[in-house]
This record gives sequence, C-alpha cells and structure tokens, in this order.
Amino acid sequence: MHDNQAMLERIERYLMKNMSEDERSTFEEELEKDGNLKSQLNQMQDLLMGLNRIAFKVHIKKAKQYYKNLITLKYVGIALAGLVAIASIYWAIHIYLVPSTIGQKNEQNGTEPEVVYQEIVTKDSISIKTQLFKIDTEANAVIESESGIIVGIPKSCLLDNLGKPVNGQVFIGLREAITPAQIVLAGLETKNGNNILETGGMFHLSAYQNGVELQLDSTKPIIVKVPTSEEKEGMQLYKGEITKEGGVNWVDPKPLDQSLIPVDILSLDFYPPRLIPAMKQHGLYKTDKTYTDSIYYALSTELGQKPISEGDSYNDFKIVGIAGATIKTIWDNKFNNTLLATNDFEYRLKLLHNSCNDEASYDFTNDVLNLYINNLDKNLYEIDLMAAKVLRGPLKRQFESLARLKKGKLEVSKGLAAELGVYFAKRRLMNEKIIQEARNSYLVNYNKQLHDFNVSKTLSRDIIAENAQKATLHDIEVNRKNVAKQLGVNSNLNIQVMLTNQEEGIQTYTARVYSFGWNNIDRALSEVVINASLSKTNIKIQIGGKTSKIIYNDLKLTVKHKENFEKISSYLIPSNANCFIKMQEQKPYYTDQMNADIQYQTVVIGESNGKRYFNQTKKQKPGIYEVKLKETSIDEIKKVLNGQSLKLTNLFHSFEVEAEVLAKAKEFKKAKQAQEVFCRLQKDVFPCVMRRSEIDGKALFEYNCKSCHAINHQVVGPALRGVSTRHSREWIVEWVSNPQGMISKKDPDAVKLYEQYKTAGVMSAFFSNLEPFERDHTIESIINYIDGCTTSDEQLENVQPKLDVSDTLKKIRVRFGF
Amino acid sequence: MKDEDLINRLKTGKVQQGLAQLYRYFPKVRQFVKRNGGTSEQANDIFQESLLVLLEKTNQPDFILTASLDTYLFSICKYKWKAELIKLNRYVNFDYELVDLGDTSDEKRYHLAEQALSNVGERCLEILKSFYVLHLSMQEIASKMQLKTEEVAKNQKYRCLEKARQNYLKLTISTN
Repeated sequence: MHDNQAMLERIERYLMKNMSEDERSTFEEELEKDGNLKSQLNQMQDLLMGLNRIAFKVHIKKAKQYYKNLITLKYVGIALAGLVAIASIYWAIHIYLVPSTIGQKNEQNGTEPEVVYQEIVTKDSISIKTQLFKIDTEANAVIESESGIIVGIPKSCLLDNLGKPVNGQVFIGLREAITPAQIVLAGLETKNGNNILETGGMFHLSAYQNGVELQLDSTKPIIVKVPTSEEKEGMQLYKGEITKEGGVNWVDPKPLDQSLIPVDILSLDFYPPRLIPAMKQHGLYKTDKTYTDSIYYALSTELGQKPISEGDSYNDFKIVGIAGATIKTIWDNKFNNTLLATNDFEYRLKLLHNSCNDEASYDFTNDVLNLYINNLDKNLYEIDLMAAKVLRGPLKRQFESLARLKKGKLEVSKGLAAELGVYFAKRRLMNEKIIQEARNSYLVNYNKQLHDFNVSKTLSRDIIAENAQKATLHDIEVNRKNVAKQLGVNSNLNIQVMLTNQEEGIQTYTARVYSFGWNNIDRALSEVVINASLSKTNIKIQIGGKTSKIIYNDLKLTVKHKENFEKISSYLIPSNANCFIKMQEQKPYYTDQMNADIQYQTVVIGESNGKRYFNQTKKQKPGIYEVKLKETSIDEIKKVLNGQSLKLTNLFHSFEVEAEVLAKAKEFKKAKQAQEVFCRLQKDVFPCVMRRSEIDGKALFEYNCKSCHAINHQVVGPALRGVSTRHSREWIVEWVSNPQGMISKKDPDAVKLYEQYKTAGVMSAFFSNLEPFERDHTIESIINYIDGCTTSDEQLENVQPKLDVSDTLKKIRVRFGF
Repeated sequence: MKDEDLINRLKTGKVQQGLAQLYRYFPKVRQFVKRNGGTSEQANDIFQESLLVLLEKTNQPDFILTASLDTYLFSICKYKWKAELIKLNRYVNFDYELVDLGDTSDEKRYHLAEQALSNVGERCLEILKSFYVLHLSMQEIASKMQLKTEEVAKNQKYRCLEKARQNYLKLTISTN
C-alpha cells in the first residue's frame, strides 16, 4: 500500500514537472526498464486528461450559458425583399466578434441536401455568397441560416412579375453579414448619409423561381429573427440602397418596435411556470393539454377571487396568483392576432405568474393582467408603463425595463378591441362559474362520501355496542343469580365484602354478615359481582363455609387462509340472550372471554369477491381453535341465524353494515389521498397559497403556542407536527382547553403526556372562556396550520367500538335498582 | 479577435471567454448536423465533444493551426458526426473534407478515464480537480474541503485516486 502511494507520488511529480533535473533523468531511465512503472504512468496520464475534460466541460457549460444570454432574438417583419440591416445610429462600431471565414472556400465542396451555394448574378457588387434554400410555397416554411438567422416565410406570400401568387417550389436566397468582420469583408458600409450606424447585422433576402426574381406580397410579411449580442434601444430596420459608387446607403429606418409578431395563441404557454414540474413530481404529468388544463383550472379555483365581504366563509383563500378562469378565457383562438397571442405577452404573463415571491406586488397581478386584456388596441409598451405604475418593488422595475423596449402594437381596430373586451368579461364570468361548479361538485361529492362513511360507521358501531351491552347485562344477571344461589344469600342481607387474597388469576373476597333485617339489599355483593363481570376478572367469594366463583376463560380463534378474505368478523353468542359480542381482533386471533357459567356458540362470517363464507360452532369450548370458512349463501346464513334457538336477525345485518363501512372507507381513503395530493400540488404550483384558516391559525399559533411549542422540534412542550394523527381532533380540543381536567379524569393519553413532560409542569388551559363553537373553530384553525396538507389518518377500516362502561353502569343501576 | 489570440485564451486561464466566442459557430454546426440526419440535441453533444477535442489539441505543445480556427472546429464536428453516424449504423456517405485528427485511440481512452472519474463521488472529484487541474496546495485543499490537516487531505486524495484507478482499470477491461 505504502509503496504504491510512494510510486504514484513520483509519477505525479514527474507529470506535473516538479522533479529536479537529476531526479527526472533517473526516473526516465527507470521507465525504460520497468514496464509496470510505464503502464502506471500511462494510466495516470489518461486520468489527468480525464480530469481536464471534466474541468473543461464545466467551462463549456458556462460558456454555453453565456452564449445563450448573449443572444436575444430580434423580430423583424419585413414587407419587402432586399438588403436590410438592423442598426442604430452610433459613431463607432462596437466590435465584439471573432473573425469570420467569409471568402474561404472550404465549405463549398459539400453537397448539402437543401442548401446550394452559388453565386447569383446580383445587381450589387457585394461579395457575400448566397445561401439558397428550396421551399414549397404551399406551406409555411422556416429556414435557418449559418449564422442562426431564422426566417419564417408564410405560405403563398410570393408574387410573380404580374403580381400573381406563385405556386410550387421556389428558391429563397439569403445573404448575411452579421459580424462586423463579415460586413467589412463584404464591402458593406454602415452608413446612413454621413452617419455611421452601429449594426446589429445585415442580411439580404431574395426569392427566385425558374431564374426569375419574385416579389413579396406586402400584406404577408416575412418574419426574421436575427441573433444579436445585445438589444440596444433605438435599433431600427434600415433599407439598403446601392449608391452609384457601388456602396450602400442605409435609408428609410423603421422602428422595430412596431412589429409585434402574432403567433398561434395555442402554441404559447400560459401555465404558471411551476405547474408542469410539480405535476411531474407528483406523477401526474400527461402530454394531454385538456388534462393539464383541467388540473390547472381546478388548482386555481380559489385563487384570484376577492371575498364579497370580510369574513366571507365561501372564499377560504387569500388572493395569490392568477385566476385560472382568466387564463382559460384568453387562451383561446378568439384572441389570435391580438397582442395576447405574442411571445412578448407570454413573457409578461410568466413574470406575473412568478410575482408570488414579490410581496409588494402580488396583490396587483390580476389587475395588471386585466390591463393587457383591456387595452388590446394600445402599444405594448404603453401597457407596460401602466403596469409598472400599478406594481411595486422588483416587478415594477422589470416592467419599466420592458417598457423601454418600446414594443408596439398589433393592428386591432378599436371596435374589435372593445368587442373582445366585452367577450372577455362575459366569458370569464362563465368560465369562473364552470370551474367553480366543477370544483364544488367535486367537493360536494367528497363531503357526501365522508358523510356516508360516517353514517354507516356510526350505525355499525351502534349495533355492535348495543349487542355488547345486552350481552354484558346478561352476563351480570347470570353471575348474580349463581352467586346468590351458591352462597345461599338473598337480597335481604347486609353484607360487607372484602378483598382478602389475590392469587394468580383469581381474586378472593370474603364477606361477613353484620346484621339481619329486611331493609337492605346486597349492594356490596352486587358491586363486586358487577365489577368482576364488567372487567371479566375471575373472583372467588366466600361467606361462612360457602364459596362461589366467577370464572372467565379465553377463547382464541384463527381463520384458515385468512389472507384470502377481504373481511372477517367473529361473533360470540351467549345462549338464551338474543345478542352477540363482536370478538376483538388481536392478530392473528379473534379473541374474547367466556363466562364459565354460560353456554356460547360462535359464528364467523367472511367476505371475498362479493361471496359470503360461514362457520358456526354450536357448543364452543374455551381454548384456541382454527376455523374453516365455507362458502354459504346469504339466505342460508340468515336461516341459521334466525333458527329455532337463535333470533339474530341483526347479526347478519351488522356484518353487512361493517362490510359496507369497509368498502366506503376504501373509497373515501382514495378520495382523501387525492385531496391531499391536490393540496400539495396546489402549494407547489402556487407557493403563496394559504387557506384563510391557516392564516388565522398561524397568527393564533404565534400568539398563544409559540412560547412553549414549535412545529418541528421540542421546546418546552412536544413538537406539534403530526399532532392530529396522534390524537383525535375532539381530544385535542378538550386537552387544549382543559388539560388539568383531563389528567384528573385519568385520560390515558393525557396522563402519558403529563408523565412525559412532568418537569415542565401541566400545560395551561387555552380558549376555555370561549363559546364551545368558537373554541372548536379556533383550535381547528391552529391544527390546520400545523398540518399544512396532512389530513389525519384515522383508523378507517376496523369498526371496533369500546364498550361504554358508564352508560352500561347506568343501565345496570336502573335495571337492578341501585 | 485573431485566431492566435483565441488560442491563447484557450491555453491560458481565460478558457471561458474563449469558449464563449467559439459558441458563435454553434448554429452552423447545428445546421450541419440537422442536415445530416441529426437533432439539435445531438448537435449540441457533438459540439461539446468537439470543443473538448479542440481544447486538448490546442493545449498540446506541438499544436499548429493549419486552417482557420473555425474551419478546424467545424472539421472536428464533421469528423465526430461521421463517427457518431457510423456508431449508430446510419452512415451513408458524405464526402466532406475531414481534418486528420490523428490517432483517435487516445480520445477513447480519455473518454473512459473521464467516465471512471465521474464515478468517484463528488467530493473525491473536487479534491482531485483541486490538486491536478487547479494546482492547489494540499494545505489549500484541506481548508477548502474542511479537512483537519494537510495529512488527512493527502490521504483522502490518495484514496480518491486509487478509486479512480480501480474504476478505470475495470472499464478498460470491460471494453476490451
């Protein structure tokens, strides 16, 4: 290892020329002899080259970026073929380019398929070769020159000598001198009378068919994009005139800014810049525009609308971002050939979409957008100025500098502009309504799903709880009777019962009889029996020499091939009670306790693919058993359950309701997840979106909670992220408004928290003086703020109500009269 | 700017400005590649690759420019595109004048070395680049990479180099 390192260091010193003369010659001698050293050297050389390449690539990447920034494309609409220059008047030529190769012949050997280089006899003496492009007049054509001039030629824009449109193939000749060197070499002067022009490039366009020069239909201007290094104010389009001396004089300047270039409005991108990346990130991206539209419009429903009045609960959003309805309205063929259908407008819209980072401005973005829509007949720069006036901060400066480019207008008659204005206003309202309705119907459906789910869940819980209560009452009754019988006591005794022994699994009570009489009932004994029945504790009661026992045994059932069923429920049915107990699921068992003095049977029902599976064990013994389910028709199950010894119409009903809850839970969970993705997507696309309840929540949090809590880390109290998944909302509300009360009540979660944060003391109560409705709402707002987009994930599938002991006790008291 | 100046820029620290100037020729190359069955992206790759070759060539001590720089660059591009077409099995025939770039087996080896190096991890690459390309001292590297001592930096560099050498060895074996 060490030798290796030493050798590498030597190679390195050699390659980096850090060796002394002597050392160097020794090394080179060694190289001759030592093949291994030589190959190591070569390898090292390669790696150094590789490193250089990587370093160069970074440079290349940066250079490309620089080059890209350098090029801004100028748009020119020319109505006449001929020599044209884009220039502004300056007294010096700004040279920033590398020498050109004009005049060197090495490219002309090629046989490139579309371009033929040839000298065409031209009327001027300017020695620039002509690039010839073959195009078809029947369709729009785009050609790109060597220097990157892009020429868009609309279909049938060329006329013959007689002014008739020509058909078929024509040649477009393009001569270009973009760099000063090209210009100088070509003998082109940059003069306008006696002024020298600073040029942004010159080019000459001509068209031929069968050797005849064609003319341009002046109503169909050719579009030319010329690459320039910088967009200078005051650049204009000049026409070249050949002087008698053979030079060129540039005359007839036309401002470039009059030429907004309309493009197909549907080819533009009016989406918020973050939309597509966010959709990709959430795996929602498709190339289908209708689909993307629908997502965008849905995301933006709540944006850009002003609440009708303060505290209007319908609009729960702060106004940030551009309204989807506005975009839907203008992104339409109707607005083709207006300034909205230009790259320039697209650029401005992008700025507005991004204005969210610019707190000073985002309240005004919709107003600014409306300026453009409502002033279609004005010059773009005039509207830019108006926009800059409305805006504040960095965005204001951006629009001011846009205005300085003096972009012009598209000829739209005042009448048409007004008409489009009216159309826009109407259509926008309509679109807004459509989008809002679509979103509302979705939300209504969502809420209905939630409601349905809750209703069947409650129903299912009620049925199960009611039966469980019945079973408990039956249990108590049986125990009471047995105890009384076995101990030979009746209700005329006043006895005191004491816990005298606690062995494993069984508690022994001893009772003493104090007095005889007619006036007392066996309250104490009943209390013991009832408590044992409720908590299913094994007890032994002794009075005198007599003993009575209440014993509970465990029953555990497993189901064969459990994984094949979508839902399984197991029921324990005490005989002669006409009720059932839903057994608790403790994986892999369904379990419950059986009173040794009661006969039970068990029923297990499963569901798979809409079919029902069934098992009945008539004389169930305690222990662990595996149950095999058999496919059984619904009628048959009903028949068994309503048979001679059983009257359990509601057991099967209960199962069906449970199955329904499961199905609804699945559906609702899907909707819930979709809702969550929607929420996240919305935050990604419109980063400034905040629901009003979140805004309120934030303020409330900062005022009330911040001194002891943070969202993501523990301060005095615990971190609050995910609190709504740890506890139910009702619990949180109760805890926040009355923590001490909950601890005194021995709420297990509350006690746990108390123990955990004992050193910090009990949290003080908040919002306890508010009306309950107001209090709930306030605390909910804070939870919403903490949650962001997380919706709490309650246990959706399993309906397993806890037995409400207090309610049962009440019933017992009524029934047994104490 | 004269070709010689440009070449000097490429040789000295002002590589970036030089490259930016060379990017002026990109539209021409793009046009060429597109005309010969390629896409803009391919043109972009070819152009970048060619710039790399040009940089390597100009950095060789015996480099003499025989044609103008842009002709030379353009030739490299043509040559590269031809090679690409052959690789894609799509080469038909184009008889452009091609510059003789000499033995291209070097090129291939450098390409492999580059691949080997790009798999050593970002930190390693940074260390190697700092030492071999930017010629920073071990002390400077230690402070740049927030390593405790020069000695640690030295060891790190050695380990990174070893990693690169192993990668390179594997690549050479698998390609031969």
